[in-house]
Amino acid sequence: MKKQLETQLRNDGQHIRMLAQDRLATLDLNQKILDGIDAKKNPANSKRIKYLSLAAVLCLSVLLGSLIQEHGPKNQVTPTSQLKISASLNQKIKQIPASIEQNINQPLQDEQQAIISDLKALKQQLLSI
Amino acid sequence: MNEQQLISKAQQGATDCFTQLVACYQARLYSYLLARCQNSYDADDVLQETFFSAYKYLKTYDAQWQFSTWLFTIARRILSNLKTIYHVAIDAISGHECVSEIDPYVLDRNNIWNIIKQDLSPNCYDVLWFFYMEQASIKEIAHIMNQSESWVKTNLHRSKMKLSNNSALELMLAKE
Repeated sequence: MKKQLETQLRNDGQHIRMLAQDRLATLDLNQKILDGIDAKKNPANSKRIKYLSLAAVLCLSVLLGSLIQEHGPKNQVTPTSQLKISASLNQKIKQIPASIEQNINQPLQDEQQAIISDLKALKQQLLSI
Repeated sequence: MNEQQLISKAQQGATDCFTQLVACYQARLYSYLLARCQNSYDADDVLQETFFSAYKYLKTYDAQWQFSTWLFTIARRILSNLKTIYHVAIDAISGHECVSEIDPYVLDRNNIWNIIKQDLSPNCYDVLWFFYMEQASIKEIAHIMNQSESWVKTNLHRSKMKLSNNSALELMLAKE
C-alpha cells in the first residue's frame, strides 16, 4: 500500500507537471517577466528624477529666499516720503482718545461684571441651603 | 554557463541570465502552484509575483541553499498572502455565490494530489509535495517551510499515516 501510494503520488505529480508545461507554453512567462521588470524599473527611475528635480528646485528657492532676507533690508533705502507718513501715523495713533479704547472694552467689562454677580448669587443660594 | 554563474550574473543585473533561470524553474514551480491553488489564474499570478520578487531580492539569495529552495520559500509566502487577501474578500462578499470561468487547467478529480488536498492540511500537503515531487531533503523542506527538521519529520509521518487510512485512496489504489 505504502509503496503503491508513493508511486501514485509521483505519477500524478508528473501528470500535473505535464499540465503545467502545457499551460506555460501558452503563457510566455519570460516575456511577461521582462515586461514587468522593465515596467518596474522605468517608473522608479522617472520618479526618482522627478523627486530629485523637485528637491533641487525647493533647495534653490529656500537659498534664494534666505539670501534675499539677509541682504534685502540692509541694502534697501527707506524713502523720505515713507518716513514722513509713518511719523504722521504715529502721531495720529497717539491722538486716539482713551474713550474709544474704553468703548471697545466696555462690553467685555459688562460681561465680566454679569458673571461675577451670577457667581455671587449662586454662592448666596448655596449658603442658604 | 552553470547555475551559480547565471545567478551571479543576474545579481549584477543581467536580465537575460535571470530569464534563463526562470526557464529552468518555471515548470517545477508552476506545477506546485497549479496543484496548490484553486485555479490556474491564481497560479499564474503567484508564479509571476514569485519571479518578480526573486528578481527584486536576488542579491539577498544565500548560496548555501539550492536556488529552487529559495524560490519555493518565496512562492509559499506569496501564496499565504494571497490566501489572506482571499479570506478578506470572501468575507466581504459573503452570501454571494462566486461563479468562476471554466478553467481547463483545474486538476483532474481523480488525481491523487487533488484527493489528498481535501484530507490534509496545507502544511502537510506541502511537506508531501516537496518530499515526493521535489525530492528535497528534510533540511531543505524545513527551510522552505520555516520550521524545524523534527517538525517536518513528524508531519511527513503523520501525513503518510493519514493517507494510508484514507478509504477513498485505498479504493482508488485497489482499482489500479
